[in-house]
Amino acid sequence: MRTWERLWAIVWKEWLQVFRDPSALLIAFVFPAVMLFLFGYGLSLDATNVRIGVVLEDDAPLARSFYRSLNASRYFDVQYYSSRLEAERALRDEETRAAVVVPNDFSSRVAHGELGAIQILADGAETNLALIVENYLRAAFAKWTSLQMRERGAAGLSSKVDLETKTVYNAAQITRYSLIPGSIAIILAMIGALLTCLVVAREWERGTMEATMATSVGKVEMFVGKMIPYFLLGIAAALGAAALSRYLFDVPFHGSTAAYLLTSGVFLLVATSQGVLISSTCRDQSVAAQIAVVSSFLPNFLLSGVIFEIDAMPKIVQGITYIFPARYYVVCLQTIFMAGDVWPLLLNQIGFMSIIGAVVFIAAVVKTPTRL
Amino acid sequence: MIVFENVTKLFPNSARPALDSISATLKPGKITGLVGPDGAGKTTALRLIAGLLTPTSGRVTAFGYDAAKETKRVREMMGYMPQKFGLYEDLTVMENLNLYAKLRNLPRGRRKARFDELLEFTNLTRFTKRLARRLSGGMKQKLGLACALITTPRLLVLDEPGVGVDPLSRRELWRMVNEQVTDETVVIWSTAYLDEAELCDETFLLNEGRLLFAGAPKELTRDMSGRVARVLDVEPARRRDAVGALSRKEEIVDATIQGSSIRVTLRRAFDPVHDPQHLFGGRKVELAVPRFEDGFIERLGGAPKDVSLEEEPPARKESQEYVVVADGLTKRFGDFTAASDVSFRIKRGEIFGLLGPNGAGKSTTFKMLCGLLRPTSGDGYVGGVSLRKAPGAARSRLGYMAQKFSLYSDLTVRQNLVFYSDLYGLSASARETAIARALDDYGLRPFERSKAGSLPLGYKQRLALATATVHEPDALFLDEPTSGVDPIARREFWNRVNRFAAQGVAVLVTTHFMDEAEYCDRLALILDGHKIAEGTPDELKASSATSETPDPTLEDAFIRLIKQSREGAAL
Repeated sequence: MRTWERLWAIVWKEWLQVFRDPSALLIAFVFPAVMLFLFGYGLSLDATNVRIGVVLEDDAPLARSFYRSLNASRYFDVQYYSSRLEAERALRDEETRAAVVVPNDFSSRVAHGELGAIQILADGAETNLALIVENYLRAAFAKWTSLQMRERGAAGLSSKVDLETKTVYNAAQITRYSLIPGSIAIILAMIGALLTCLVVAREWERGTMEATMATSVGKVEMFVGKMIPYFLLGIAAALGAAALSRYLFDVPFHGSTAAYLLTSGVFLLVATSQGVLISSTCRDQSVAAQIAVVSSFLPNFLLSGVIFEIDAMPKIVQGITYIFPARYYVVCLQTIFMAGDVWPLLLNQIGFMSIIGAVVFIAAVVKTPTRL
Repeated sequence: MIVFENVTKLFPNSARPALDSISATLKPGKITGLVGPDGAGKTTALRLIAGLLTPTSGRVTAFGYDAAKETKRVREMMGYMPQKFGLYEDLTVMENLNLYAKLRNLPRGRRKARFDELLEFTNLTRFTKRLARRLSGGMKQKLGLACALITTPRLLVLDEPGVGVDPLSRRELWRMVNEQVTDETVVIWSTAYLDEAELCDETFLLNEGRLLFAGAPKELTRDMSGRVARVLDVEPARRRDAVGALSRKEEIVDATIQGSSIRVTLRRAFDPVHDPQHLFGGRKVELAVPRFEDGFIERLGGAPKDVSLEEEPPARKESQEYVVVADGLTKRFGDFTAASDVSFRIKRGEIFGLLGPNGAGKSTTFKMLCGLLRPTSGDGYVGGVSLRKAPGAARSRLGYMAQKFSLYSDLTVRQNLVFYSDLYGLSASARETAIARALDDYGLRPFERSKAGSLPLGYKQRLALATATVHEPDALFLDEPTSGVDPIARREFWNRVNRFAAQGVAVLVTTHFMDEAEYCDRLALILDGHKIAEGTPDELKASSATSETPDPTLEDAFIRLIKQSREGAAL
């Protein structure tokens, strides 16, 4: 009974402090809005007018038609090179981002019913851009081949077809619709960790930690009592972020609020535990804040799959992504926003997050000191 | 009963133990003072009792419970007030009480009665809805005490409860704690104020982790009785030279300025027949009551001999000009007036003290005079240069030593000196001369290549003073220069300050130590942003002499002036 009363005393105290000190509310509500604006407007991964080089070793009509289709795309600014060597040099000198080579046996192979291969040369130093260009080129290629088939099937038909609308490959995979829900993961991870670690460090700095520690309060009461208010604040921030995404950025929301709250709740549990864990080892607000930002922002930005495709990462880095809950939460978010409540998938992700959450939570409880 | 059994506490990365083989028994039914300068181990000892730290070796027990193993038991019967009082500044008075009542398991039914009792007791009844942040220092301290007393503890642990608050609040707090003492309770009061120690029933004097003395404060001063004397009516101009000369005499352990007289501790009993003539050059001398500090210095092996004045003091810049002038300095932050119309003047060679509790406006006034803060109205002048019009030029005429250690810990002693010389724009040759002189004068040669952060506290302070004066300023500003250092280091520091004054430097000092204020030629008392009195220490004392207290201390005088000023404000 006493335990509950002490726990409640801490929760209530924290709750009062949230509303007395505007910094917590600022972190919980203004910060996510700013971040969403940055992700929504500032950070666009759409590529248009990418300069590419084209080499036509094969001069047959078929190759020419592919060249024309690339030229018509708004994604590419096509530069013609007479030889493969020249195209490679341009690529090396960063005049172009990629080069497309149509080999000299291309049309003859196609004519004989064999597979005609077009080569893409991409700049390996910029893997991410290369990946994007490659995807765009593949999309353009797929478009062109389907067009050719239709032309052959119905000869004489006008070849003027809009490339834009019939893009089969979803280039939007890496644009706002997926970026905004994904960015919610980054935002929640940061505010969860930041809010809790700041308030604990503040108590160390002001000497109130010493005073409360010297009372009968136990460490789990202290720990859980501090987490609950900031967890609730995080949930409120999550709802706010979802509302902004839906109504300001017009991102579709196909799933249910319940599924969104459940997955966000599990994720926040990890984030707030992480905050307590940080603050138990560092007792200075500014240091705690730096660690919280770095340890929540970087892995969630780089390794969650929001910005960079996990599949495109080196194997070892892919392995590392499994230990960060953001990876699972991003899948949940993108599913809930874009597809709806796909429960088998969601439960699977929740399961993984719960395991990580339990580990961080226990670590935080163990690490929370009862002595100075 | 609290028992320390051969307790040693060693922190990682520190060479010297914070507490070194301490054995002590703290008995119930009295106030036990834990006395010593900063770094003596007071807080460590209190934290060991509260189970907030565990001893490296030895054992601390409270009423039979091991503080390290049965921490919960100990905490259940303990009221603990850490430094800075442990209050939640964002919560109101009542919310703080409620929180600590719950955390200390005070049953719901008993809370209302206990709160009423404590609020009445601490005079906070009218302020229950006020945020702790908006309370004055004295009120915060009382609320901190109320929170610690919430469950009528058997063990009351107070970590420097009197620090930085005005002397009136300090006395009230003492009275309140005194009322809480029953035959069962153990009360531990830690303090760096040696005059506070004299009020305790029993004291434990700590220095650098070692127990120097345990027992009633009178026992410490008993050996000193008959050995302390006061040399009266020393003319102001001769006072500093006289102190230097006296302290160098073989028979004299310690000599300090006390207003217009000089307080002297002898190695032997004072001889009223021969000593005035032989030792004190025919001056009028009377026997004085020994203080706790005298005993402390005796235990530390006597005060440092003032060697700095032995050599020929440089030619005095004879002048009556005022080097530092504060002219109606006022600073408002929003609707809060931190300093209101503060005026004073400091002559060449004069030591002027700004005395007042934390938050009274000392630092604000100080910062305005350093050109660090722009006054809302009024102006300050250093060497005739207006701080408002030419703050840069005015600043180059003064040396400033901040309250906290403000040197670069990662730079060596020499690098710090070079850096500050360059900041003050010394030429290369002037710089080398100044640094060589500083290293020799301050005994810093052996540490020339040591990092400033690794120096002992006393040497850090020397280095801070050395860097503040490399450019031979006309005015020297010292912000709480010796708070928390041991009396030996304090005397050494004042010897140096006296030397600067003797050379014609105008010195401005802020302090909340009453005994330190006695070293000043003149004082201004600051309270709630106003200067409530100004004068020499003797004038201030004399002005508040009454028939009950014919010979008041400076603290008595201050308390009286505070009361007068508050009554005046209430009218």
